[in-house]
Amino acid sequence: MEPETKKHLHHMLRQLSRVSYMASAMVFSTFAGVWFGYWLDKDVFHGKTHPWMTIIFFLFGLAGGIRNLYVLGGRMKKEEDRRSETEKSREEKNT
Amino acid sequence: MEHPLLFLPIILSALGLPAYGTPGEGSALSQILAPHMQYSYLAMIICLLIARAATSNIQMVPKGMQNVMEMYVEGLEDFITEQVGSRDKAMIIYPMVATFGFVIFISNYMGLIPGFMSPTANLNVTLGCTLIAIVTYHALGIRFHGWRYIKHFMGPIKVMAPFFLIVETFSHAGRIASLSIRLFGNMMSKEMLLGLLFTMAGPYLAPLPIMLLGVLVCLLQAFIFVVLPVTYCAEAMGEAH
Repeated sequence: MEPETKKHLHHMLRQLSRVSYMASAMVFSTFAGVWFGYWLDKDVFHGKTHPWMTIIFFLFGLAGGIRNLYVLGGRMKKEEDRRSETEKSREEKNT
Repeated sequence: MEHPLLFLPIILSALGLPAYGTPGEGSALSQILAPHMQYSYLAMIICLLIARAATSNIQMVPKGMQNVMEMYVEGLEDFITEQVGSRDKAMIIYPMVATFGFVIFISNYMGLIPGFMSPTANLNVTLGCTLIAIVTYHALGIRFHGWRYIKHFMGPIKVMAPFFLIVETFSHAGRIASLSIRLFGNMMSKEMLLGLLFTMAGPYLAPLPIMLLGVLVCLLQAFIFVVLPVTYCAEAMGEAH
């Protein structure tokens, strides 16, 4: 395999994995929040607080999902910076 | 009840063992010998055989299986070191992550062979792997930071700490769900779709596009299951914000 193709494939695999992760991290964190809120409403307070706990914990879960994305985004940015730095230094060596 | 056509359960039930157990029902033996367990054992045996083939005749200039395994080991080591920052830290999580990658890769691809199933198409298997990863990264966080590990959950602003504590709890719960259910969902949906197409649209050309997609998805999911535990461990071992 040509090194260029290999690099391209590797890059694409990484991007695909990120996209796949981002979607699920957001969705399942929200899900966890809603489920917990619903459980509080239904089994702990026996419907007295319905639907407020569900709504509040839905928002918490959503915030958790966004926080997950934020953490991953920061990590991605660091990686990109490092890569562009190494590429730059390589180019300087070549010239 | 009708059963899917799988080789190992057929052989085992011919031997008089309860090979079609469902999780949570029946005797302990039938649960140990449920189909997804059998194929997990098979994946483990294949892993061991490949490792044996790679290491039995080690040479200076690698040939055959040794070549492939060296590429995998070296590439993964570089990747983890790059993510975690130092080689010492990378070596702590390396065995776990390498095993995950290898076992899940083999179990995913096993589902593409007729008569075999992916053990990862069962939520119990993927959830087990996920829980190992999750417990490990929290344990590593506590090992590297002691009680200060809780600062990772507090966010950058002191006044907002209780709020962040709740939010972080859900974001970590979401990680468990996303890691396990994504792998399970991808594998399960592939197998279901293949089964449906086999029965409804004819066995020859109709399932081919899904199989092609399956080849890609299997690789991708194994790759994700390597990348994410590494990311989480790096997160837990690094300094808080």
